[in-house]
Amino acid sequence: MTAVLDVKGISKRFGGLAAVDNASFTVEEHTITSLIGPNGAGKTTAFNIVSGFLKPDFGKVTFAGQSIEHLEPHDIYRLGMARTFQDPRVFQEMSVLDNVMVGVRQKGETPFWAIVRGAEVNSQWKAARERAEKILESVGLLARANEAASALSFGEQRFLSIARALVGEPRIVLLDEPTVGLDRGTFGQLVELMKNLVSKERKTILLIEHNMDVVMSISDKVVLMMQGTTVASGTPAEVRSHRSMVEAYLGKRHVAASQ
Amino acid sequence: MEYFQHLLIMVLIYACLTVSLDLNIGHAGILSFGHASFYGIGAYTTAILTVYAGLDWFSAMVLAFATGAIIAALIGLPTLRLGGDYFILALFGFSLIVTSLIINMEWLTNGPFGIRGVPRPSIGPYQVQSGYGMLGFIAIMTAFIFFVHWRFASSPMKAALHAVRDDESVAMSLGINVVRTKITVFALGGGFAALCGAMGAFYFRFVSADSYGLQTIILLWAMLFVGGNCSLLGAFVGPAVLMLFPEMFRFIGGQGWDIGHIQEALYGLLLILLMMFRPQGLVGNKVGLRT
Repeated sequence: MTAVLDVKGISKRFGGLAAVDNASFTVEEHTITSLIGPNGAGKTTAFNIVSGFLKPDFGKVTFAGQSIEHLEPHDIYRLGMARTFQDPRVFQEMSVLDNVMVGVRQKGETPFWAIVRGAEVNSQWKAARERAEKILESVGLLARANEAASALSFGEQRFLSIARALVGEPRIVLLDEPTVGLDRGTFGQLVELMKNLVSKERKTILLIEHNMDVVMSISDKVVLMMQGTTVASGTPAEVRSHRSMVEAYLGKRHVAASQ
Repeated sequence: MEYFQHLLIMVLIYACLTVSLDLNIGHAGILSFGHASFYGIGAYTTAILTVYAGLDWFSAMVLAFATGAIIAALIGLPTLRLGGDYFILALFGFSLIVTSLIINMEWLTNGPFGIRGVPRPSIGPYQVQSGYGMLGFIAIMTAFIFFVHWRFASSPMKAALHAVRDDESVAMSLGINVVRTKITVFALGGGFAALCGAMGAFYFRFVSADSYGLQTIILLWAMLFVGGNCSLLGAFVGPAVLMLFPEMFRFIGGQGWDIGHIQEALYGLLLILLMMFRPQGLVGNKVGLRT
């Protein structure tokens, strides 16, 4: 397996606080890698560095063989990396379908081609709509395509935000706590969706997740972060038994007790 | 008849200004307080090029558009990074500077006296005269400007603009170059406002600094919000209501200053009632104003 994403020694300070401090991990193609760790461990900051929203003070990020730590988020998306945010952040006033179509970059969105049009512009636009509809169907929202996004429930908005991130056919998707706030039914649906993305659609997923059941059941690899740095990495079973993991989630006394 | 022609021409010019302001405010969320200045820059560019440099009307219009767009891009480059309210203040400062430059650069603008004698447009041997000829010219320009804005609002450009307007970070995360999009749209707004300035210069045949100041900005914002955001129809309705409403009082009669004051008070009342009961405007598609 080749690493499609390689994060090496990234650091980011906010004033006196080292949010991320010399963190390194890799994500292999066609796998699910979970980034775990207690609150404040630097997971989301690491996400923001990888997706270009923050520039690291030190370190390198390599995506598909290309160094990307200096690139802007929109450039990184165009290289094939999409992300979601902790909140769904759907465009409330747009229709569900338009929300998804925003994720397709096309010629017709520049002023000149918007006026002139032509066959290529129109066929790109049509293809974008078809792809958006197909993805909405896969997340179960096609029937609501023409409703305003604000009419969707929180869980549905979460699925919409994931659909929006998928429509550009990215190679890797970064999902920031996608299961938070979902009820039991939609929770299972989301886990299935993530599994299918990797097994059927041949995508790669980097996940921030707090629910250990999800992490342990769907991850190919787990990366544990604590106080800004990556302290353990391996299969779910390996990381579960790691000393830092026990320390992080159960406290130091349990480490002593288990020895 | 001439009176009605004048009113119609004024409504059309203001409709064009409003639709280009809507491209900025309604679609892209760029709260431009400089629109009247670009309108003035277009008018002065046209007057200077035709009266002093003897250029033909068509080249003058194209250059007016380009001048408005380029100045807007140069102003937008540093200021569009500012947050909503700071951006408004920066553009407010810009509009004060423009007015003061027009008044003080006498060698170029003839200062407070303005520039007279802008020639009428002509096509081959046919020269556009006042009256129906001028109305036709303004109507064709209006059709062109509305066509372009209709194309913008019925293309993938609209979704990209609305994404930038509603959530810049999400727009970035979906591959939209937010900075470039905003500068482009702001430049287009400046360009079309300048084109309106050219239309006005050809109609009035006269330009002067006091037509492009604070009062005009507030009038344009009022027109946009009375008509409603993100609506081509709204860009007609707003100027029509605000231009024609005061005119109605001319026929009610009354003498002297008091009718003027009643007019202004009713005008203000109309705005207050609208914002209270119909914040999306008379025919708009978007609720209220976001920053």
